[in-house]
Amino acid sequence: MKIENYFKFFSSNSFISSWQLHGFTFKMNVLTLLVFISTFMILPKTNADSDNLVFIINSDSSIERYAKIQSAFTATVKKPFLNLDLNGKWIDKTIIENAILDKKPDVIFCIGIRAYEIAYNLAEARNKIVFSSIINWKRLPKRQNVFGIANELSSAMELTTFSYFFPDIKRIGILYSKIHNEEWLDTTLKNAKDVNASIISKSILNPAQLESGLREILPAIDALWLVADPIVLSNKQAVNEIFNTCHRSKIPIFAYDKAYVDLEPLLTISPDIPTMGRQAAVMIHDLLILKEIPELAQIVAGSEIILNSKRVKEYNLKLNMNALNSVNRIIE
Amino acid sequence: MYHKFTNSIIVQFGTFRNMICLVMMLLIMNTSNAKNYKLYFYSVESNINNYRLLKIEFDTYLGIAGMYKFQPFKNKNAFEEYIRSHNDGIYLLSSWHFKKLKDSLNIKPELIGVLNNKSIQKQILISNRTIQNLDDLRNETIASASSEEYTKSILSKMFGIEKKELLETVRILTVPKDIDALMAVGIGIANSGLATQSSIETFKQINLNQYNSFNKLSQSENIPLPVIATAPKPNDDIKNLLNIIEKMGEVSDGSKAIKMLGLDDFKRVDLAETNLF
Repeated sequence: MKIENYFKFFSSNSFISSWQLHGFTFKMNVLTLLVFISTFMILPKTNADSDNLVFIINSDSSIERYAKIQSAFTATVKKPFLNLDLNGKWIDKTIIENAILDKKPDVIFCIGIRAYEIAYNLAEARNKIVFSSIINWKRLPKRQNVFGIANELSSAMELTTFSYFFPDIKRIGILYSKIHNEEWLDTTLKNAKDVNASIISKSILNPAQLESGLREILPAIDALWLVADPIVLSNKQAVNEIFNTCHRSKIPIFAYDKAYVDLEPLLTISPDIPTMGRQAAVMIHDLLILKEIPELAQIVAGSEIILNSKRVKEYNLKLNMNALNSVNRIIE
Repeated sequence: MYHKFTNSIIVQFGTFRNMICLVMMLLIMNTSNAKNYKLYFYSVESNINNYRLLKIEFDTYLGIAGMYKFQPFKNKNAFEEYIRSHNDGIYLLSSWHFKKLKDSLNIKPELIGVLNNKSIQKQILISNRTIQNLDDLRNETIASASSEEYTKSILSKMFGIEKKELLETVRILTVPKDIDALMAVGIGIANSGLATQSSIETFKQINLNQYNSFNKLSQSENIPLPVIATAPKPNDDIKNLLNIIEKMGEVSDGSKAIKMLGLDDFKRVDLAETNLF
């Protein structure tokens, strides 16, 4: 995903709280829907509970990350499933409602925000819903029986990965806003102690404070950890300012999303997309055997790592070569 | 706490001098009539998903020596089917997979991976504090970077025949890397995880607190590291390719490619190791 598309994606997921989910209009004729309800697979019955049906609703399978989640999910879930691809189009809600009433799925697995809106509006309260690939999931309307895979990694996992690759980088800077990331920062400070790293943080109140915040923090840090914060990363210009300023000072950047790769962060650690699908399949299995799910949303258990070896050389950094077996891509 | 760690395993990217050495060495080894032989690769032991990167790194190294290429496979069946129909190259695969295929495909091990000066490893089953023993694993999730088939074969031996039914109740969450499996246990996504002993030792160096929260539930027997196998009577080109791979660890670019497999080097299989297969 390019940086421009990323901002589009980010903003489309940021106004969830103001959406009116009720009275949503879906438009699509029956013939098209039949095409979209593309798969109805009954897998071999392997045990007594294999009659459970999973209804997969994909917001748009032409989006690569959504397709990858679904592919990993269907390869892992050992249940029959019904698949509906919204393909980014409007669909007549009564048809979907009838499909849910008729097939009586035990769990609805939603990929992307549109799929979740539809499931949340149309499914009965008894239907369990598992969401995935939704940014800002905390702002979703929720009720009992709603669970999901968060679109994020644990800060403990990210810090451990930083230390694994670059054990000499000990002072990690974070620019953030209290309104969005105060709670996250508290947890991160505790996690940093586990890897013997120190977090040097600076909060800003608005985008205008970015420059002074950077100026204050840079002399005290070995690397800057870019975190998802809409006040810090308010627009493309702000992102460019962070990368350019850090590069001038030879301060490497750890990024949290592949969208920034073209700006050449030292290391990019983003959630591994297929792992989200596999985790959702395991979570659905747990729901179907009535196992308690300890948290409403599980963070992603696997990461995708991109290393910029050009930056390793330019900044004269020491890289743990044993960590190379964890790298998905190297920018030379 | 990182002093020993950094001294022992940290090196910087290769220098220009290393590259010159590599080119000279490989040109000497090159045979002018080398055909387009391939090193075919499939791994059940690690959920490797950086095939493109592996191909670039291996092709860069092997290409200097001749018309040699690296061909990774994502799918086990496709890999096996290919070997059955084209027994014309050399194969890099896990020792577990090799044992399953060796008789039907008539292949023999020539080289074996080396990690920390050893050609064997152990798989360790760890848990967080909610799981105290194997019986507590009923209906639990076990995180693993290996394929589900391989993970279950290791667990099956750990559980033994008397706990065969327990294996049916556990679910395997496949994650990209050993470190992900360990972190998944550390942060509670899974209550148990399977990882190699060397990964766990590395993790101890990085995150001692998380490491100290783990229980060791069981460990596997010694498992030979991945092997490189060929047909019983390799021709000169295949022998040349084996020589090239054997020397990979001596130069930085070759070493870098091997590191991406989670190994330090390859060496000839000795007689004692032959008995492990």
